[in-house]
Parts: sequence; structure tokens; C-alpha cells
Amino acid sequence: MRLIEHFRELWRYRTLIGSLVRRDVAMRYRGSVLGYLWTMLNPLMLLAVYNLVFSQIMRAVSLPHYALFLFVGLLPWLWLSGSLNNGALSIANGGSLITRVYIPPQVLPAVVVLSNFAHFLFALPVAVGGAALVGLTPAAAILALPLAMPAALVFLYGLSLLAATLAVPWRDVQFLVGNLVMIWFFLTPIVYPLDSIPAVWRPLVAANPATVLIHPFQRMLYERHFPQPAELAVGAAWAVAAMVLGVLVFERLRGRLAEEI
Amino acid sequence: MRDDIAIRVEGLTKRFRRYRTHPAAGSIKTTLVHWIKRGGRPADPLTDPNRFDVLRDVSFDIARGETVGIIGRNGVGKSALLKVIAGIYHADAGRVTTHGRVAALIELGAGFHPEFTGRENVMINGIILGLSRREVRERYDRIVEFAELAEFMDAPIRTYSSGMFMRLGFSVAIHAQPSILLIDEILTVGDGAFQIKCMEAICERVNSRRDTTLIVSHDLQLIENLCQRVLLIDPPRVEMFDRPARAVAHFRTRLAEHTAEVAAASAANVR
Repeated sequence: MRLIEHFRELWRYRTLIGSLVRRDVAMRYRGSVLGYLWTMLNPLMLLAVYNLVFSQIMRAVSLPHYALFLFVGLLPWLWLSGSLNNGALSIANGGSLITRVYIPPQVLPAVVVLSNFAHFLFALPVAVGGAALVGLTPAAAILALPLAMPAALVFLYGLSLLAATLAVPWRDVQFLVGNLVMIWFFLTPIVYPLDSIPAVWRPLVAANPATVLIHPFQRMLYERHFPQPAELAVGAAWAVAAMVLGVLVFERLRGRLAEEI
Repeated sequence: MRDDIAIRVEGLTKRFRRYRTHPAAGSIKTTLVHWIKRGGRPADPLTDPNRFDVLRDVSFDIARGETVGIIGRNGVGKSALLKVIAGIYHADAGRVTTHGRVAALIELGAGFHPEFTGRENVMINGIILGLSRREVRERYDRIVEFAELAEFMDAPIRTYSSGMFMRLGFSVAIHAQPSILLIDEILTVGDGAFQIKCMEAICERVNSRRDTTLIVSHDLQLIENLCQRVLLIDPPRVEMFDRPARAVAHFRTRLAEHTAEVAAASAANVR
């Protein structure tokens, strides 16, 4: 019941969420000369560095079209890391929106996750175009891209909400999240493929929710296959678990949030 | 709830945390230690010794169309009461029921973003105060005209003077026309001429007797003139909820007593 009421409240505030997301997206590029180009330049620069280090200098991975593999993994990862890093601070730094007027506090992490999702969507055509550029014509599998998005969206909302709630009484959480996200990056097959991991460790890495949620994108855009239904199902299960946990913790502590900011 | 009641407060208790100066208070470590000491149960705000009552078992009804003043000394929970009614704070016990759209005027321009233009901020601020996109667009011209900022609406808010910022915030709030408006000290902004305009807008709202307004203010004259009833808070209870003349007179006597006590105490110190 609480769960339903929680999302009903979000739905009632959809106009505000829409306006804040639009503002967030516009905000990121306002005053910068290159504007929207940054959406693409950010992952491209990361791509250049990782490509140089892992493929050229360390020669740790040898995959055909390694840069493309990296890129299609980095895009959803940046969505994840952006949502968690900024989401953790969203309520604690919500200021007058939380302490001076009434809006349901869960609106703020929702806005962070959605605006990072928007950046992800904006950069997606670059991945498809880049694939075509290296000679991999997009397969029909990219039509299934929307199938992999809802689970990631719900998962990130749950986790961001959890971090945002806990960061109000304990500011330590923001630093914790930053560090965990960095470690998590290297535990997720983004710079290396899942197959390159020793067989003993593979189940562990495969169980990692980030692997489950990001791999479908790599599969559709890089391997050019339709996503595996089993993987999508596991992703959906992770999403529900994260969402339930986030909402329950939030609903338990929400009465104190405005007072403790 | 009867139809003519806008706000009903029943047995409301609000407790605040007592902040200690101990450096580790509030850290994960102290919280964990206390949590383990309680045997894993969450702290009950009603019995937690680290909390004190700001308001205890407060009940009252406010009728639709009524204008009510809230007075009391500094720090007695007047703003806390407004925030509970607005839904910003949760009641630790009791219940607050409101009828109609509530908007709190505790800070002007809540959610204004400095990098965005006046026009964009009016939209978001209006939505925060409970308007739909269309309603904001319909009222936009009136909002700008009232704020006298027509030629600045496409400039980022960060270029506004603080007076301009307040004028715009006030204008959005007054044009949002919520059925329940909670005002915390912000009755007028800007220069003398603009302040008169603000007061006229508030009087118009109050006199229409259509909507409900709650005003927290230390300006007792103003409270007496604007309100139909006045709530006097003597923490943690409501001491009086009566006609303005009586409540204000009672509060003035209280203030005078207090001033005399302070004078006597400082005289004693000098000796």
C-alpha cells in the first residue's frame, strides 16, 4: 500500500518532475560554448583514455572494435554513476525545495535519475552511428533497446532514493557512494568482457546487478544480438528489489528529512 | 470533516531534536551504538530523551475564508506549526487535515534557479506552488505586471537585485491563489510603493473571504487589523484562540511582564 501511495505521489507531481528534468538537462550545458556536444564528448574522452590504457598500453584486452565495446558499456554506466553520485545529494542539497515548500522529497532523486537517463538517450545515436562508422551496420536488435531501459530506470531510482534518504542523517553516505561507485565500475564488465574473467569468478561478476543491467546494451549494440530473456528477467528482479528497499527505507525516515537538512 | 472547515488540527504534538555539542553526535558510529543499546528498535520520537516538545496536544479548527494570525514569542513553534500544516514537517502525534490546495510563503522564490531566466523560474515556482503549466501561462502576464519586471523576464535571475528577486517571488505566490495560504512574516517586499501594493493584494485576498490565510507575524498592529481570530502560542500549548483585540492585548501584557523580569534580572546583575 505504501509502495502504491509512494508512486501515486510521484505521479501527482509529474508536471514538476518534467519541468525540473528539463531544467536539469538545459542547466548542464547552459553557458558552455559546445552545449549539447558535451553529451557526446564526455563519454568519448573517457573512451579515448580507456582505449589507450587497456588496449594500447597494457594490451590487457584484445577485442575486435574494442573502442565500440567500451563505448556501449560506458553509456549506461555513466547513467548509473551520474544517478547515484548526484542522487545521493539530491535531498540533502534540496534546500528550500524541501525545507520551505512542500514537495514529496522523492521527486528530487527521481529527477536526477531521469535527467541522467535523458543524457543516455541523447548519446545513444552516437553509439549507433559509431558502430556504423567502424563497419558494423546496426542490427535489428537495436529495436529491442527500449526493453532494457525500464529495469535500469527502476533499479537506479531505488538505489538513488536509498542513498539520498540515508545521506540526510549521515553525510558520510555521499563519500561512501562515490567510492563504492568507483570500485563497482571495475567489478563490472565494461572495460573488459565477461568472458575474460577466470571461470571461478565469472558467476560472481555475472550476478552483479550492474552486469545484468548493462550487458543487454552491450549485447544489442556491440554483439548485435537480441537480449536474452533470462537476463532481462534477472535485471527486472534486481530492479524490483532495489525499488522496494529504497521506498521502504525512504518511507520510514521521510518524516525526519525536512527537519534534519 | 465539515465542508466549511479549511484546516483541522487534532491533538498535534511536534517534537524537535535537541542538538548536543558533542562532536560525534549524529555520526554513523554514535547512531549505531544507540541503536544497539535500544536492542535494534528505532528511536520513538515520543519518548526519545533527545527530543523536546515544541507543540503538545494542540487542537483547533480554522474555517474556510477565515484569516488567522499566529503570535507568540521567538522560537515558540509558530513556523513549526505552519510547516506541519504545509506538510513539510510530520506530526509526531495527532493529525492535521487540510481542505484545498495549500501553499506556504515561508521563503520567496523557493526553487528559483540563478542561471535561469525570470520567465523559466516563474513557470517552475508556479508549479511548485501547485499550479498547472496552463494556469501559470494564463497568469503569466499578470505576474510580470505586478512584479514590474517586464523588461527583465529574459535575463537570468542571478542578474536580479535582491529586491527584484523578492518582487517576482511575491508576485508568483500571490497570483497562485491557493485556497490555503500560509504566510511566515513575508507580508510585504520591496520599496515603500511596492510594499503598499503587496499589502493591497493581501487585503484583497483577506477581504474576499473566499480563501483561508494564516499569518505568522510579530507586527501585532497588522495582525489585529487583518485577522478575524488570533492564535497565541505559549509553548508547548495554544494559550488562546480568540478575537484579535483580546489575544493581542493578552500577549502585550505577557511581553510587558517579561520585559520587567529581564530588567529586574539585569538590575540584580549590576548590583
